[in-house]
Amino acid sequence: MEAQIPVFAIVGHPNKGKSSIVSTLAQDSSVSISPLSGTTVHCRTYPMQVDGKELYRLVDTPGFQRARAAMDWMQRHSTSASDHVEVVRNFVEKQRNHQHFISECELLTPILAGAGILYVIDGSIPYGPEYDAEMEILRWTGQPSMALINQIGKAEFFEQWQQPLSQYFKIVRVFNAQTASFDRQIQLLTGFSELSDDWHQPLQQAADQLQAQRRQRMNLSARCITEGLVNMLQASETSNLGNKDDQMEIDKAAEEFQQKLIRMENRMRSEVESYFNYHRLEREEAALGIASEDLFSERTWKIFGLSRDQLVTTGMIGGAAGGSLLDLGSGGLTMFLGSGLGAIIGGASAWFGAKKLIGTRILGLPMGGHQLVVGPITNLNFPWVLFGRAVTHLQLVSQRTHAMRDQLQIIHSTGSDIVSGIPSAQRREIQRIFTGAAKGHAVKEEELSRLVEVIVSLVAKNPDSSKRDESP
Amino acid sequence: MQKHSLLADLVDIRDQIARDRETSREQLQHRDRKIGLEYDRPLSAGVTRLRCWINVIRKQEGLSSSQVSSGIKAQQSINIVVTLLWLLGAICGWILTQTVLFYDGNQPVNIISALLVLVCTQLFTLLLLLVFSLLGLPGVLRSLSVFNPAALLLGLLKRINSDRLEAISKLISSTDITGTAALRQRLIVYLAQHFTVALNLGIIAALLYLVAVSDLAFGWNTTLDVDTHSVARWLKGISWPWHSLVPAAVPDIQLVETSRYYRLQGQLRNGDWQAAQLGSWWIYILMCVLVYGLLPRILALIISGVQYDRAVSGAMTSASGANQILARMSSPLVSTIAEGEDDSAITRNVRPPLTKRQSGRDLPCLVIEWSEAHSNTDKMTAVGIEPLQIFSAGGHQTLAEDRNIVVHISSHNPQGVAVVVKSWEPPMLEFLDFLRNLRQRLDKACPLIVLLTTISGEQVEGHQLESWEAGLADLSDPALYVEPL
Ligand SMILES: Nc1nc2c(ncn2[C@@H]2O[C@H](COP(=O)(O)OP(=O)(O)O)[C@@H](O)[C@H]2O)c(=O)[nH]1
Ligand SMILES: [Mg+2]
Repeated sequence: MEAQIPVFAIVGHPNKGKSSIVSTLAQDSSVSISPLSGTTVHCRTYPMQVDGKELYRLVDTPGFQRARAAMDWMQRHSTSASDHVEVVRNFVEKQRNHQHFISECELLTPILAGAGILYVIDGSIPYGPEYDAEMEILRWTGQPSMALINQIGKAEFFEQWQQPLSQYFKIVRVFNAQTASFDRQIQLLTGFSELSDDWHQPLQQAADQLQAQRRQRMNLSARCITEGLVNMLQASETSNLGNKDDQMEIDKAAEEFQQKLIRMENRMRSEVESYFNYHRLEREEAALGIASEDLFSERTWKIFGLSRDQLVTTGMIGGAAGGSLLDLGSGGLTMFLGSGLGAIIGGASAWFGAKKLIGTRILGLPMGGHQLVVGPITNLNFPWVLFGRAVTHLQLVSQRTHAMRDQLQIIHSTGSDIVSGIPSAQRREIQRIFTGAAKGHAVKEEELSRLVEVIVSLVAKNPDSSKRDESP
Repeated sequence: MQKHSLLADLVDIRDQIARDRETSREQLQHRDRKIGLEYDRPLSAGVTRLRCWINVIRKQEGLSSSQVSSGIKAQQSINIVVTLLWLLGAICGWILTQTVLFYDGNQPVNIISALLVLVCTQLFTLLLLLVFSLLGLPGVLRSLSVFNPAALLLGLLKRINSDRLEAISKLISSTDITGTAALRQRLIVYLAQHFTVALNLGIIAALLYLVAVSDLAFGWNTTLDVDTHSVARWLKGISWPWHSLVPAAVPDIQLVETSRYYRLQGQLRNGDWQAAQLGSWWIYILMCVLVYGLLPRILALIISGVQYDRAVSGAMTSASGANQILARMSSPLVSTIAEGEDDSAITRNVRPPLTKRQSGRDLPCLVIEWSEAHSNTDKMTAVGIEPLQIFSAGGHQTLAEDRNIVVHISSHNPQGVAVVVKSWEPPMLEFLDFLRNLRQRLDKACPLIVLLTTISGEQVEGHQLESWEAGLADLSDPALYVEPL
């Protein structure tokens, strides 16, 4: 046998969330989870590796299907209490090639090879006699074990489970596969060392590495958001215009510009998700449906952006006015078009009362003809909207577990606190960076890092969604 | 390992980052961590680490494609531009000198205008450059670049837009947060210095050529009432930097006085003065060009070169994605996901679904409570089942007891059998075994009804009913029914 790395077999009745727990702990969305029982028929291994060196491994197993029959076989072949492990071993050897006990053989194999047992039950349904045979078989294997109470439904039968579980397991823990926070996951992982003293060191090391990885994911995500944000603030779209009064073409260009921003935002979202191992996450974000609230709708502005008052107190409105005067002065050829750029822009600018949400400029070309420049967006609230949306998304992604298989729903009302919760000094600092970026100034590395810091601390500050007491 | 220029590395790093968008994060992490463990010195500067990274990547990619990377292409096009600028500069300097020092034998070359054209204009543009780069007014600098030969040439080449120039034109025109705007300025200023150094060399070469093959006579004049002495002081003052080094290139008052000529007389004051002596002005002009033209421009070339390098390095470390590369190289590769593909799940055979029981008159049934599920007489009556007798199976019963119950029930030749189960538990194979045994002993047409109870009398959930229907369909029993209780 190779080095003594801890191995944990996650076993139990079908449909109690074994695969879900593994999915969460291994941060792997490829684990098949299904409300139909018997979905898992073979074991699947989830090694935890640091630079190729394995620190522990999880084994997801099929659930028991014929526990009573297996126990029956074992009892018939046992002569005394001292031969239990031997009998289980014989059972697996004899039955391995028969279909009948395929699940039992599959799940007992890693245990007989030395794995610790994590027995999963669902605390939202009552205990019943059908569990006894399973727990008895596990006891017969003689391996260290722990019971995990998952909670699939709303009801709580934890009390009822305490007594039967404590008969078979020294350690009983509550762990909600879908809502467990990252800290809870680490806590559970290090708790596994209670099964064997030898496992303490590798598990602690693994926990440290996972925490470092998470910090880095946060940083990289915040960095991605920061860069994406600045890119979106600086974005503009240039196209050639046959006739400078062609309203349709101008509207079309504005629409295309909007689509470009949407694509940029989506790319940013996917990148953040991929840092957290989500690769094909379905996302529902209110703003991006054409029909529903989009980036430019009034509601989103109000939710994420700063209010007019807040902007005034930030002292930025005056500055911006000066800035736009400068813009006007420097571009002799520049002409602002402001009005009539389609309903979308009209709607948003109506709220802010600004004529140039998306600045469009028509430039005369030396060779004749005109060039239409749409963007960048100079509205002061625009960066805050982007910022709030991105931070909300990062919060949700970082709190999600891989056992959740539903859509990622980004509900925007939660975002309003994000922006207005920032202390005003900091807000002014961020606003300066935004304004500079929107004017096309290169953003300094220090400024980028500062924004990254702010985002990370904002996400860390947010109260965790699963802070309830989870001790049994 | 082959060394490439900073610019080539920058362009290739940006290219690679763009290409990497198509690659999965896991693959990138593996690749970069491997590079990190093998080559990386985490303590060295970001630029050094990034260049090391792109060199390894180039080597890896080079194995599959023998193309020249776009970074190398960009550097090559810069080199072409530099060469063109050198040529252009040298030619301009040559022509300029030939024009200014044009001497047809009648009228001497005016030293003042020669100095103005050859030295002062250069000094002026240098001063402008200095002021603007000190004050940092990129906007002004940008509008001035209309007059910058390097900018003009780049603009021209961008229009040609050949394959070779694509990388560089992309670099120049790309708007990125990473300060490529600054890089663009630095590049143009740096290129311009190549031009002006070449210009000065062209001037010097032409001057030497003219001195060698023709007989130059210099003079000066003015309509203004200017004292010869003060002109001499000025000219002498200018020569201060080299007065001890090259005393021959310091004009004395006598020379200045003799060189003054009057148009009306159409000749020099001292017509008998030797032309050879007037020709000695050329050393003075040469020294002026060397000290006030060439020398500052060489300095500017060096300084702008350093600044350009710094801008390229800056653009490299702040390129979006560069941070991630460094992180991937230096942080341990932590992997928790499954090894291999998922072959753990079965694909269920699709069975014909169970049929629905005809609801009609009450069916007298023997009832089995599976694993301590509770039957409820009222509810059973409500679904058209008349319970005759209730048995227990599963749960704490032994398999032998289960078998006895099957035998016992079949001996009654019942009209129907109802099995009450917990809807919240899934159908286990063990239970299907039991049903199969039961069916073997019963009449084929005897209805076998599985009734789903709930924990506290609520509705059976849809997915639970589905799960039971799917599980029991595996038995392919035409007289088997599943119903919520
Ligand atoms: N709400 C909720 N559902 C869960 C949780 N754990 C598992 N489930 C659901 O329970 C079902 C069975 O889960 P699965 O992990 O496949 O169980 P397994 O058969 O023991 O591997 C799936 O539909 C899961 O979505 C949980 O913590 N909360
Ligand atoms: Mg499973």
